[in-house]
Amino acid sequence: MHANVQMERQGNRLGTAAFAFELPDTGGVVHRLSDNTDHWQLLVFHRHLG
Amino acid sequence: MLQLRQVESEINTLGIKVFVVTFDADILAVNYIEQTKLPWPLLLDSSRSLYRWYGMERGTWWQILNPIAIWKYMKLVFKGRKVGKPGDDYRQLGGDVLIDPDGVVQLHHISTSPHDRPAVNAILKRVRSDV
Repeated sequence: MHANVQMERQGNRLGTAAFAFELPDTGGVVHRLSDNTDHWQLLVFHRHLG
Repeated sequence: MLQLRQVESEINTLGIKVFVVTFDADILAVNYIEQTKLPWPLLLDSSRSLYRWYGMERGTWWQILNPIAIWKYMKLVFKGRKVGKPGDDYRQLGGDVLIDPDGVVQLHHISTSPHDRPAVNAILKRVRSDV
């Protein structure tokens, strides 16, 4: 049980290639994973914006 | 988010590119940036495809409104945090993904409740160990 919870909390993408996202920001600028391959990138997924 | 902003200078020093992702509507996102002065790009993932790829699904009502979550909300309100009208989905959960310069996921945290986030120090420690 504990192992399953730990697996769920850590997710299953650890150590795998990141998704090649391509998303616009609020100003219309499109950001891609490939734009910053020379940097660490942190994606912070928000809940709702309330 | 507050904890992350408190270490913004170290994040910059380490060269970490931060992207905040939301599924909410564009107008809510623009208002959020104006109200919070968010220093990082706010990406719009209205289809939630990136959320789904990283396993960040909608939580159960119990995950969202359990006594611990309500108590943590109340503490924020008592500290003066303004709680605005939320977007159209209370149940969507968040999370954090740290990607190294080779494009490999080095931290993948799926929140199991509204306040479940990885320790910021753990994120910085992972990057520092590589710099």
